[in-house]
Amino acid sequence: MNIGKRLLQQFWGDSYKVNNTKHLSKWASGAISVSLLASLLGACGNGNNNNESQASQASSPASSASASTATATDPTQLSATIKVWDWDEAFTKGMIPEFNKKYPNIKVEVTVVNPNDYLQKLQSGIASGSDVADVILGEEAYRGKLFDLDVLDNLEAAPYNFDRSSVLDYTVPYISNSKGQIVAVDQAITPAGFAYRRDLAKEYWGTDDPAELEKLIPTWDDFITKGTELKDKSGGKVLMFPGLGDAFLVLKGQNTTPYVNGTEVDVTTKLSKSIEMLFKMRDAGILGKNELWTPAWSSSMAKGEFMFYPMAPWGPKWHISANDPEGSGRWGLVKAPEVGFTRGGTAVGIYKDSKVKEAAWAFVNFAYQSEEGSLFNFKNFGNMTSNKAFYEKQKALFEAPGPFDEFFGGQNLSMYYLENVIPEMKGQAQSKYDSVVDAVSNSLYPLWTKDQSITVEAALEKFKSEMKNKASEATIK
Amino acid sequence: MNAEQVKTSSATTLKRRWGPQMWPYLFSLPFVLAYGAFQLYPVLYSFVLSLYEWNGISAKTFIGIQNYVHLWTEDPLFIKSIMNTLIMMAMFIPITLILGLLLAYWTFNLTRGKNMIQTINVLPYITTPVAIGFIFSYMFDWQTGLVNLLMMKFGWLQEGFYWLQDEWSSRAIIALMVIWRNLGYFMIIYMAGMTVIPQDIYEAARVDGSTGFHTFRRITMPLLRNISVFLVVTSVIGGLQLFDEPKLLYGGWSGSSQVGGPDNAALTIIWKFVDESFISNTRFGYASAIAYSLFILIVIFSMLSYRLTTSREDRR
Repeated sequence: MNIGKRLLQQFWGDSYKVNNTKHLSKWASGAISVSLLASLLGACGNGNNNNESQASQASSPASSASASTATATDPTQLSATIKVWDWDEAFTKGMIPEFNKKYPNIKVEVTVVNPNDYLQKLQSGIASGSDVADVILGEEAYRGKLFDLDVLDNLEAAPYNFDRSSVLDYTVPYISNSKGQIVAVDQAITPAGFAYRRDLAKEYWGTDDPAELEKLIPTWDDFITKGTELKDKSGGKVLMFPGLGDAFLVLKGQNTTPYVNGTEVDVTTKLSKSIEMLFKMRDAGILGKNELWTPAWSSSMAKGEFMFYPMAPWGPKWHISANDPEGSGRWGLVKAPEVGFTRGGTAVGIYKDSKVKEAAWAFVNFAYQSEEGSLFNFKNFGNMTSNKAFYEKQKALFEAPGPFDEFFGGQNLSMYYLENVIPEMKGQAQSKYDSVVDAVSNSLYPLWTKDQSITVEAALEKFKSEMKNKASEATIK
Repeated sequence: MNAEQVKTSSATTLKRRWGPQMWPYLFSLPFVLAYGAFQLYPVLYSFVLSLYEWNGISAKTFIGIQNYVHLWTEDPLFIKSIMNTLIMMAMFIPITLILGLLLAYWTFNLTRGKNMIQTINVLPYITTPVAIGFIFSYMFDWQTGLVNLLMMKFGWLQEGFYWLQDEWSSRAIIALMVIWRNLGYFMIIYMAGMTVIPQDIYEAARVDGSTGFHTFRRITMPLLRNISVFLVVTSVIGGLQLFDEPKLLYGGWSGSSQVGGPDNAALTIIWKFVDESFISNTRFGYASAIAYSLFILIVIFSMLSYRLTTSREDRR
C-alpha cells in the first residue's frame, strides 16, 4: 500500500493528493504493477524486434510479405518485401537503390549481421521460429556448414531456374551442397595469387615483372630455392612469407581433391602433401614467425620484411593498401607456384521456407549475376561476378585500369586474375568439415611455428586427433 | 448466527481475499512471470534438450542419457577443459585472496591517499573484458609484445618467448588477467569487513602487547573469516564459469581464432560449451549436457569450498 501511494505521488504529484481516496489508490497501484509487467515484457519483445529489423532500409506501406504471382517477366509487376542479412552496409546502401530502379515494388529490408555471429543468429532464428532472412550469406569460414544445414533452396529448380553453366566452371563446387545441388551464387569470385614487393624482387632477383617472376617460381621446389637465395642475399632480413599460416592456407587451398564422403573425412589425402611442403619451407628457413592478422603481421607489409602475401581480388583494398598506405607502386601480383587457389569468398543463397522466393531471387540475380548489377558491383566495390557472359560482353571494362592498378605499379589486376590465375583453377567441394579443418589448422600452425622440430607424421597425427575431438561423429582417415 | 451476519462475514472474507493480502502477490507477479519466462523455462528446457540430439534446425531425436555418457567417457576435450579450469582456478584464487587481503589491510591503515588507492585498484574491475583481452594479447605478443621487448632489452632473453603458445604460460597469463581484474573487488570487500571489526578489540590487543603482524594474524584474519568464505565460494563459482579472459586473449585479433589456446591448454568448460553449440559444432543437445554437467560440478565445488573454509563450529 505504502509503496503504491508513494509511487502515485511521484507520478501524479499534487493531483493525486486531491483525489486521495482509498479506492483510487488501490486501483491505481494495481494498474501500475500491471503496467510495469506489461512494459517489462514489452521491452523484451521490442528488444528482439529491434534486432531483427535493425538498420532496415526505408519503410513503405506496401509491406505485405507475399510475392505477387504475376509474371516475373515484367520487373515492375513483382511486389514484395524481402529480408536480407548482410554485414557490408556500404554494399547494401549502394546496391539496393540500383536494384529498385529496375524493381520498384520490391522492398529490401537489411539487417546488419556480423559474419562471426551470422550462423549462430540464423540457427537461433530458425530454432525459435522467429523471423529469418530470405537472402542468406555464407562466408568462407562457415559456407560448408551452412550448406549442410539444409536450409537453402535448390536454385536450379523453379522458380529460380539457375543454370550452372552460366558461371565460371571452377566456382561450381563452391556453390554446391553435398547432394550436388546448386544452393547459392557467389557474391564475387576470389581467385588468389601472391601480392609481392616489387622493390625487393628487383633488388634481390633482378626483376619485378610478373611474367618473369612466374618463371622463377613455377613449382614449390623452385619457390624454396629462390627463397633460400633471398634469405642468403638479404642476410636473413627478407623472407618469403610472413608466417606458416600464410603458406599453409595456400597449400591447403591448392589441393582441391574431394576428401569428404558422408561422415568419412580423409585428412591424409587433403593435407599430408601440404604439411610436407610446409615443413620443407619451414626447415629451409624461408618463413617468418608471424601469426595471421596480428599487428606484427600487418605492419610487416610496410616494413618490407617479406616478399609474398597470398591475395584475392579483395586483397588490394582490405589487405595491402590498408596496411601499407604509403606503398603505392611498390606492389605487384603474380600467380602462385603450380596452381591458383581461392581465398575468402561469400556465397549467397535463398532460405528454403521463404515466402517471397521470386522476389528474393530477383534481388540475388540482379545484384550478383545480371549485367547491370555486376557492372555496378565492379565499378563501385571492385567485386567480380562469377557470371561467364559478363566477361565476354564487358571485356573493355576489365581492360581499362582498375582502382588499384596504380597501387600495383600499373599492372592490370583484373586481367591478370582472369587470364593467368582463373583458367587452370579447380574448385573444392564444400562440407561442414571444411570449417573444422580450418579451425584445427588455425589452432595448430602456431604450435608448429613454436616447436620447429615436429615431424610431418606427428603433425598429421595431431591434426587427425584434433579433428576427431571436434567432429566426434566423423571417421577420420 | 442469522442469515444477515453470514452474508456480511462472507463479504468481508471476499473483501479480505482481494484486499491487502493480495498486494504482495500482485507486486511480485512481474518478477515471477519474468523469472518463469526467461529463467526457469530455459533452465528446464535445456535439461530436456540435453536428452536429445538436435542441431536447432532438423528434427529432435531422443537419445536418453547418451550425451552425458559420451561427454564423461569419450570426450577427452571435456575432461581436459575441466582440468584446465581447475588448474587456472588453483592459480588465481589463492593469489587474489592473499593479495586482496594484504592490499586491503595496507590501504585500510593509510592516512593519506586512501581514496585514490581504492579507485586505482577498482578500475580494472570495471574495465570491459574486451579491452582487457586486447591489453594482454598485445602485451604478451611474441613479436611486438611489450613483455618480450623489455626482457630482450634487459638481456634476459635472446629471442622473444612465445607466451601465448606455451601450455603453462598461457594458463598463467589467463590467471594473471583474472587476478588483475578481481584484485580491486577483493580489496573492497575485505575493507568493508575491516570496517565492521570494533576498534576496542584492537585496543585490548594493544594493551596485551600485541603489535603489527601478530595483531593482523590473530585478530584481523580470524574476524574476516566470513568474508573469506564468501569470496572463496563466489570465486569458485565464478572460476568454474571462466570464459571471457581465455576467449578474449585468443580471439582479440580480427581474424585469428584459436579455439582453446595452444593445444587446448586454455580451453575452459564454458568455452567448450560455446564451441560445441555455436563454433565448431551445432550440437545443442550435447552442449546442454555440458551445461548441466557444469551445474553439478559447481554445486559440488561450492559445497566443498564452503566446508573447507568455514570453521568446524560454524558448520554445525
